[in-house]
Amino acid sequence: MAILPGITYTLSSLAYAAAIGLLSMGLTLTYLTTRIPNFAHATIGMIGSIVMLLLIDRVFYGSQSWLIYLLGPLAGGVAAAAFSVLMYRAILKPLADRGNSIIGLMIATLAVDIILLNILTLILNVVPGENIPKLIGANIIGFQPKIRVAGVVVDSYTIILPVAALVLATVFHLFLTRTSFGVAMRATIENPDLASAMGVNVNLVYMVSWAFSGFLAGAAGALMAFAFKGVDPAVSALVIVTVFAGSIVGGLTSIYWGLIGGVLVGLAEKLGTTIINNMYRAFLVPSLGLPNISLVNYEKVMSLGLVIIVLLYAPQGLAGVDWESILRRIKRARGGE
Amino acid sequence: MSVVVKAEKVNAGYGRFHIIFDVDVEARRGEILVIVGPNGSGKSTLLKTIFGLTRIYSGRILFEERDITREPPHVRAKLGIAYLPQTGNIFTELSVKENLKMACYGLEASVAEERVREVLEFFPFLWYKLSSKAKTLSGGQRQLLAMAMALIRRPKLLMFDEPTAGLAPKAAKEVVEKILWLREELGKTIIWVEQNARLALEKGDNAILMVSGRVAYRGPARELLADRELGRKYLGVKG
Ligand SMILES: Nc1ncnc2c1ncn2[C@@H]1O[C@H](COP(=O)(O)OP(=O)(O)OP(=O)(O)O)[C@@H](O)[C@H]1O
Ligand SMILES: [Mg+2]
Repeated sequence: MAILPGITYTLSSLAYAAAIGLLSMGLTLTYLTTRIPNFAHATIGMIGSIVMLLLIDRVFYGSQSWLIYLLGPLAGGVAAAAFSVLMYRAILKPLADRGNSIIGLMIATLAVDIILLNILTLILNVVPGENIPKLIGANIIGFQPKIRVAGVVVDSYTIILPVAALVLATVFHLFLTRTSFGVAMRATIENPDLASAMGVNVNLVYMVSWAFSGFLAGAAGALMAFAFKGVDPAVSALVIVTVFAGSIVGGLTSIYWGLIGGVLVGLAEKLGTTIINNMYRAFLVPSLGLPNISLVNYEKVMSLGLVIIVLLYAPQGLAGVDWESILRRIKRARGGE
Repeated sequence: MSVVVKAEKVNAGYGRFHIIFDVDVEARRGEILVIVGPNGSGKSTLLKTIFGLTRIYSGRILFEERDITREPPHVRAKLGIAYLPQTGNIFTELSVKENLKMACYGLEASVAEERVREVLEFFPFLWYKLSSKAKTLSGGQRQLLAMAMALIRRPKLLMFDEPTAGLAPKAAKEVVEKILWLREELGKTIIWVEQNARLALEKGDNAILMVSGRVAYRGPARELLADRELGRKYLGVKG
């Protein structure tokens, strides 16, 4: 029995990790700007999945056009961004202005999550569509262009998602460093009072951060639609756990580390669990006579275990680690040999 | 000389915490007004009140004869008041260049460029630090960067909260020289809160002594310095 998973599984794990990375990045962003832990974040991403599903049903069914990879994330991202801003403006900001604590705001996001989940389920059930029942019931992986990697036909979304994550992260980085509104956003994160003394409209910055966060979630959700065995909005309840794990591993102090934390946790859940399962069954079961059970269903143990390990060694998350001094020490150790 | 800023019988604090009581203060154009007093006497709170960061229960704040008591901080900044807080007066996670860019926020691009060039002439060391993160600057350099950022907006009044706190003597001296220069060369009005009473009272024109949220002395700075009783009791000034 092979210890390392095959190429198809590895690619789909990478795609999942990239999607979690985008979600953790957005979650970290709104936490940094407005100090609200958004438990509706994964369900907001699910808006993107539903938009993708409707797009396939109405426009792309049977066409296998690559355009779906542009229009899907764009439309899904915009829809999710719109909801995200609405949720902040209509519910969270009024609550924060009335002096609600972080706990109160967190509970409010949980409430929004449940309402949104029901709305999405309703949309799936009542919107008339020729193919929607088929799309909901079956795996929608078939409704995408095919691609060949190293002689194997793979699901093209598994290539597109990591690339899209890199592109989105790069564009966002350029926005934050090259535009004056982006610099104002970073300035506001560090010191909102000083930023407002410089004439920055801090409330506008907060709204834009919710829009970006929603867009990243919706785009990731749209592409992840291909991974679902039938679209069921309720999977967001599981995904949100992983997204928080990723953000916490990253440290909740830097959006870049949020992205990296999300990718690491996503990889640990998929590749990590499978590799451990394979090793368990190849070595421990025969030699120690342990029960021959599958460990692959214990994904969340991996992600939450990773959170505990990282926090034990780096209480501020990966962002708080002094990487420069570690690199210097490694270099010195190498030089000393 | 005309009065630039004036507080009349101001009572202010944070929420329900009433910190300063019936405070009257005025600063005239081109003067250095020094504010001294023991820890917790309300010096920082007074500066914040003039900038609009506290709750004002009663009294008025006038800036160039205009009542600004109810104006928010960013409006006061636009009118020409700069406030350099004790800590957090620059964006440490941004580069020096980005800090200056933030100071230009909302200015027209051509104006912004000219103003940045102007302050770089005033603070030439910043040239070499433009792409460094502001957190790599020394304490004194940070104060000077904060000053540069304030100057970009061409304020009429600059309020410093303990600009020399925690600085080595040489860096402190440089900061103080720059404050005097702001008055001499640019004709700015300055309110200067200082822990090192002797230093500030020697340089200042007028002074306020705050004790428990009230004004305990108002008058020429040198006279406060010469007052043995007040000096020994509140300021740790010997002889
Ligand atoms: N945000 C706040 N909320 C409530 N009380 C505050 C706040 N900031 C300061 N205080 C209180 O106001 C009083 C005056 O504080 P302030 O900072 O104005 O004193 P200070 O004269 O500047 O002291 P120092 O020399 O230590 O800087 C203190 O009792 C302080 O505890
Ligand atoms: Mg103070």
